[in-house]
Order: sequence, then C-alpha cells, then structure tokens
Amino acid sequence: MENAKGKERKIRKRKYNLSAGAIVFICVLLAYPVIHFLITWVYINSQTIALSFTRYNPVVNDYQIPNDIFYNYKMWIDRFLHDERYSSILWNSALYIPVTCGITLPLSVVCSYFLYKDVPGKNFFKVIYFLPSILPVVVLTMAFRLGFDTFGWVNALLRAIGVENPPIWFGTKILTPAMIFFYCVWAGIGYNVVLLSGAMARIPRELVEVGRLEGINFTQEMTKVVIPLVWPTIVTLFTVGMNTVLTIYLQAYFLMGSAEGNFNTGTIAMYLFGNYSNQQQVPQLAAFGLLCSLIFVPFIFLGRKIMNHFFKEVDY
Amino acid sequence: MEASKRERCVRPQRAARGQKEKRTTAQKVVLWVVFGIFVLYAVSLLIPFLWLLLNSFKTRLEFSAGVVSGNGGLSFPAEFDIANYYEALIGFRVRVGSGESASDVNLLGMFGYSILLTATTTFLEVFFSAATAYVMAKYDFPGKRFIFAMVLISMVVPIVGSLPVMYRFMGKIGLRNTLPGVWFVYVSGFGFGFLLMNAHFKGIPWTYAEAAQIDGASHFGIFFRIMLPMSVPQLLSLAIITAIGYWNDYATPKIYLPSMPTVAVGLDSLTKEIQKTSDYPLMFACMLVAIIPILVVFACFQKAIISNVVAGGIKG
Repeated sequence: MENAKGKERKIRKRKYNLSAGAIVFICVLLAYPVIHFLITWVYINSQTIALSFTRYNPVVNDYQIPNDIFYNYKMWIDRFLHDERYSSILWNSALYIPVTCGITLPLSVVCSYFLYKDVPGKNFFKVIYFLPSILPVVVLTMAFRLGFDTFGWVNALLRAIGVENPPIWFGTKILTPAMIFFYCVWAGIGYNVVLLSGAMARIPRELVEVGRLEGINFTQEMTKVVIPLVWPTIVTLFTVGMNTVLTIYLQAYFLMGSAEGNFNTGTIAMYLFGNYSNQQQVPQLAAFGLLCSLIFVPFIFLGRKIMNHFFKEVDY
Repeated sequence: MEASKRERCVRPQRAARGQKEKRTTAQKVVLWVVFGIFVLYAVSLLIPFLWLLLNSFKTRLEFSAGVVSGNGGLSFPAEFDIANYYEALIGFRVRVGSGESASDVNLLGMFGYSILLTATTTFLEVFFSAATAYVMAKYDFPGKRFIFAMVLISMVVPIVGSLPVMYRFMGKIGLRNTLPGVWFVYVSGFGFGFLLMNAHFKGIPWTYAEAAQIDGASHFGIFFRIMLPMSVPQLLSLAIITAIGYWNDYATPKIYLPSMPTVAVGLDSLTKEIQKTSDYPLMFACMLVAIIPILVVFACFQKAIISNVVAGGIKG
C-alpha cells in the first residue's frame, strides 16, 4: 500500500518535473496569496451565506438559526415588493445599467473611434479625459457639485445667457438622480476611452486599408471594421458596467453628502456601506447582499452571453 | 541576414503608419466638428478645477461678494493670497477617533498617513503580485489550473453583502483599526497586478533561468536576482498605478483604519467641517492641495500609467 502510494507520488512528481527546491519555492511564494484567498473569499463568503440564515439574539449576544431559516430572505422580498424605500434601492441601482452600458459605453466607443482616426490633438484629449480616473472621487464629485450649486459657475453662465431662474440641480426628486447619472457619464467616459483606444491601436492598419479602398465612410468603418475587432474589450467594459448595479455608491454618496441620500438616490452598495458596522444587522445585511446578487448576477451573465454572440473574437 | 529581413518587413508597416490617410472633404468636416465637441468636453473637465483654483485665492468676503453679485465666482481674485493654502495644509484640523484616543489632524498629517499607507501597501501588493504571477507563469504544478480558475471566478463573480462579515472578522482577529489590518484587506497577490505581471513573466524566456541554474542559482536566487531585476520597469509601472489607487481609495481606510485618516478620507471630514463655517475658498484650497501629489505623479509618469491601464484592461 505504502509502496503504491510512493510510486504514484513519484509518477506525479515526474509529470510535473519538480525538484524538492522547486516545491519549497512554489509553496513559499504562493502561501500568502492562497491563504488570503481562502480567508477573504472562501471563508468570508461562506460565512456570509451561513449568517444570512441566522438572526441576532440580544440575550446571548450571538447569531442563532431561527425556526424559519429563510426569515431574512422573506423579509427582504417583502420589503422589496411592498416598501418603496427598499424597492427604490433596487430600482436606482438597476438604472445604472442603462446609464453605463447604454450611454457611457457607446459614447466612449464613438470618442475612441475618432481619437483612433487622428482627430487633431488626440494625445492631449486622451490625457485630459483620463484625469477623472486618477483623481479621488471625493474631490471630483465635490468639484462637480460645487459648479452646479446655487452660487456655482454653471448657474452664473446660465444667468449670463438669459436664463433667469436656473434649476436647483441637486434639489428635486427628478433632477437629483439625473444629475448623478450625468456625473457618472461625464466622469466615466475617460477610462473607457483609454482602454478602447489601446485596443483600437492594436488593429492592423491593413485591415482598415482594405475597407478604405472599398470606399466605406466613417460610420461603416466604425460599425463594420473597428467595433467587431475590439468587441472583446467592449464586452469586458459592458460586463464591468453591468457590475456597477451591485458596486456603485461613492458617486451618489459624495454628491448627496450622506449614505442615506436624499430624493431616493440610494443604491445596493450604499445601503451596505451605510450599515456595515451595525453588528446586530449582519444577518439581514448578508441576506440583503446575497439576494441582490441572486437578482442581478444572472442578468450580468446573460448580458455578457448575449454580447458575446454579436461578434466572434478574432486574433490579429 | 535575419535582422535585415525583419527590417524589410517592418519598414513598410512603419511607412503605412506614418502615412496620413487621404480624406474626403466631408470626412474632414466631420473630424473638425468632432474636434469641437472634444474641446467642449475637455473644457468641461477642466473648468471645475480652474474655478476652484481662482476662488481658492479669494477671501471669504470676496467670494461671498462675488456670489451676491451673481458672477458665480467667475472673476479673478483681487490678490493672489496663499493664506488659504497655508490654512488648508496646516491650520485647519478635524477631530478623529473618540474618547482618549481622539486627536486633531490637519491635511499635512493626512498626507503623512496617506504616504505611509500607500508606500507600504504598494510595496507589498507589487511584491506579492510579482511572486504569484511568476510562480503561475513559470512553474507547472498540481492545482495550478484550479487556483487560476478560482482567481478568475473571484474577479468575475460579484458577491455583495460580505462587507459586514469582513468587518466583523477583522474585529475578531484584532486587526481592525491597525495598519497590518489594512494591508491584509488590500494585499492579495491575485488582482490587476497579477494579470499584468503574469503576462510579462510569460514573455520572459526560460533560458535565463536555465543559464543561472547551470551557475548554481537556486529557485529563490533566480527569482530575486534575475527575474525581478529584469522586470523593474514593469514593477515600477505597476507600483505607480497601484499607488494611485490606494492614495485615492476612500472606503477601505474609512472602514478599517478610522484613526489614521488618509487624504481621501480626511478631506471628506475637512470639507464637511469647513462647509459649516461657509469658508468656501478654504475648502477649495483643501481640495486642490489634496490632488497636487496625484497630478505631479500623473504628469511625470503619464505614459506608463495610461499604457498599463490599457495593458491591464485588455489582458483582463
């Protein structure tokens, strides 16, 4: 038995051709990342799942499994269906999908295409457009909001061109979310543009030349040559854009000045960020997060799958 | 012979790239219209900061007078006084922590915390990313595919709701509100840096290692004395981009290190405090001082930063 095990080990060792020194080296260098992954991903996520089926018991100061283990999930489903405060969190978060994937991404593709077509000053534009990506969100959001404040430069310009009563940009139920979405588009284009420009720069000139010889115009070249060739990058950005439904919060948090937000600007991630330190609520928050993931992750994967069907990846 | 063949192949490509596209008048008009739109967008990104800059030199009274007159702060200051900058950097303080551990911190102190946190975390993240990427790129060992798959899944599948559990876990192991705690949260070795370095190490021929092995170098020796020195440009680029991310991050230091407010975290508190006094020019000075280090780094390493974002995005 011992012999058989030893033989097997030897065969495996020969297959991988690893010396004892190599095994030690691999183990030492991978020890921290693997342990970290096991703790922060496997353990924390499994704990999150386990705790989502419990309730906090103040008597014993611990989490206990209630008679109805789906209590937290049922509570959230009920809140999402019947309480406007919570359903608006889902709705607000979901609206970021059309904003990022339906507005920011297409605008970024068009911008990148014209930078690729050598619009005058393209390098300058790339640098300026990338600036929002390297500045702290807290500064960028404040700079944006102050401009639209009652004393800001936007209203002053509007008054100068004859608009007597400019709107209160961050003060109404309809305009406030619209301004947050506008901010996301305004600040979000640059990062996409840099990535897409990089992908477009890798397109062999010969491929574009062929189209040009056939007399295609800008629109045809963009839609029939360039976009199919950079499609994998577009799909990646689309997926990242869809993920914002679960991850976005800082923009609305800083623009509204609190985690609660006003005028229903709260998102899934903002709700978690605003309540993470309340230990009594851990089971409810875990269930909330997991339920939101269960609702939106299938859409994210479906969106990615549909996008992948449009064009096949081409090696060039 | 080989070289001249390569030259012959490369020259026409270079010539093609250098050649300007012949464009129709309609295409030229389109490009200039796009140029105009690009200029407007670039101006919209710069104006908020120019507005902050102009007004940061004003006194509170001067700014208020401008607001009352309705010019929206779009006027030059009577005098370019740097008093607000001195006050922003040293004079104005916010209280952090509670009870006996409470202390007053100014923006200069926040810079110190940011530098300490960014430098140490960047070093650790770059080292572990390089080590993990090197092992995964150059060694074949059992479980390698599984590790790779798990890493990719953890990057692609967004699971929300684990923040309260992670916060609780960090408290349990005594790492909450400590620098090592933040290192643990940040440094994984499997992330953007891993993808970037993995692609880089895959491109380095193994013959260098074989030559060193003949000379008696160990696996550790090859990694530390040959592979890492050969990767210094990539490591530096990765370090810059990683450092910018840590410098700007708000959520992690806010949650896990409240007693050491970094610039991103402290600026939020500073501006909220200043807003209570309506000293907007001081607030603008704080915001501008906070972004100066990032702008300097970006100005110096702009190409490396953008090319790494592109490489990471495309490889990711």
